[in-house]
Amino acid sequence: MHGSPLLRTAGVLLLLLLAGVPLYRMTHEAAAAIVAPAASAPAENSQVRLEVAFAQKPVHFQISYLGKPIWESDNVTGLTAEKGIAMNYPKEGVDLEFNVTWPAGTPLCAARLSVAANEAEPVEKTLWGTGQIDDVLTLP
Amino acid sequence: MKTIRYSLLAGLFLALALRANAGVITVTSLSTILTEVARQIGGDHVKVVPLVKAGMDPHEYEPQPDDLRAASDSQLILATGKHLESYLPKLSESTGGKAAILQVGDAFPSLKITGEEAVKTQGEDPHWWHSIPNMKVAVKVIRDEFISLDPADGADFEKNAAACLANLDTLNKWARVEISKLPRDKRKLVTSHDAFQYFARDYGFTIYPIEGVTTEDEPTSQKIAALIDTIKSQNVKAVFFENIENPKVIQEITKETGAKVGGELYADGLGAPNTPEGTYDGMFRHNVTTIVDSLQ
Repeated sequence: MHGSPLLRTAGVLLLLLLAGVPLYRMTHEAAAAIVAPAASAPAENSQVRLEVAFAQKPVHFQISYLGKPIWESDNVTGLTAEKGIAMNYPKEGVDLEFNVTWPAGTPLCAARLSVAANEAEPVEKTLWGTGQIDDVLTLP
Repeated sequence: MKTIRYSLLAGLFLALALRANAGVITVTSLSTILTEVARQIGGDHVKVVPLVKAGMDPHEYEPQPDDLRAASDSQLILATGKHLESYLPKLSESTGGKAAILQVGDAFPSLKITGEEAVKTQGEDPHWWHSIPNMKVAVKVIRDEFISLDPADGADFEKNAAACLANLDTLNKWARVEISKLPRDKRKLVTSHDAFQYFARDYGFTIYPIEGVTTEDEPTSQKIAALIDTIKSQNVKAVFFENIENPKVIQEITKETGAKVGGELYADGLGAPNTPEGTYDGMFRHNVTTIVDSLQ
């Protein structure tokens, strides 16, 4: 009437296994859904054109946004350079940190950064420094 | 030969006369910020008596009899100005006008505030020291006042002030780099007292004050409800409370909005002596770091 205890145990295990498959899928998908937003990068919704111009050729320059380099060059070949990047550009504007290093002994020198977001008119800022520049440019 | 000898003697007498005038200037300070600046510029040539000390609320401070005696004995009283010290006319009257009162904040333009609190300060925001460019003007104003009181030690005041100005430039550069790590669309500052207008102007923040400009004010329930709506609609990540205020109201707001408590900001002066926030540099760095970390 009650059958063998071994058969009953096997039946229970089978039921648990059958219930476990959808349970695993549900929890796995839920965990993935929770993790996804945290892993996603900030929206890169603007095409931005950066141009730099130097009065004298530097040995190194770097442009950072939100504390991270977005354009860096250790091998500057000319007095101007340009680059297009995709980045988040809020309507409030951006702050870009601009580092330039000139060869030792270079007198007071200027560097210009021009930024154009989404094919709008470029905004230019010029900085001056002796030997190096390390400053933040606020662009609308 | 005689002419040279007389010239040398005259020069010697002049130097001695100037030296005789060189004494210790006694200064009474009504602000922890101005106390530090006066000590840095004045060095050994200035004795500063601080009446408003760390942890005291300058909005609520009223001079006591001992304070009046100290003020009477000083040559100069340093005040924040911009109507922060509403007792200044009484102080001047009770000291018989012996000490000159220098309202340092009058040296630069005010940012305006609106609303009922503006009546108390005649529409001016008195918290000008949260702007480093303002601080640089303050250093120059105090330096020039010390030189006019003690010209013989002018070179020392010039040298000390130059060091202060260089330190402020370094601090400002650091602050600009730190704040550049925070997207401009996240620069929304909700604080328990509207004391950061100058800071907001310099670094591109928008201020949503929980209450008015003085710490005496209690926000109304309508104002709190309006603020909760603003925090939700602007997606503000954190709210801040200052060093001298009960944070109960903020806790209520954070509960309603889900915004976190951003940390303690020094709004009305320096922190306790012998702590990092006990200096202007440390206080400013603390505020910048706390704001940037909380709003990320």
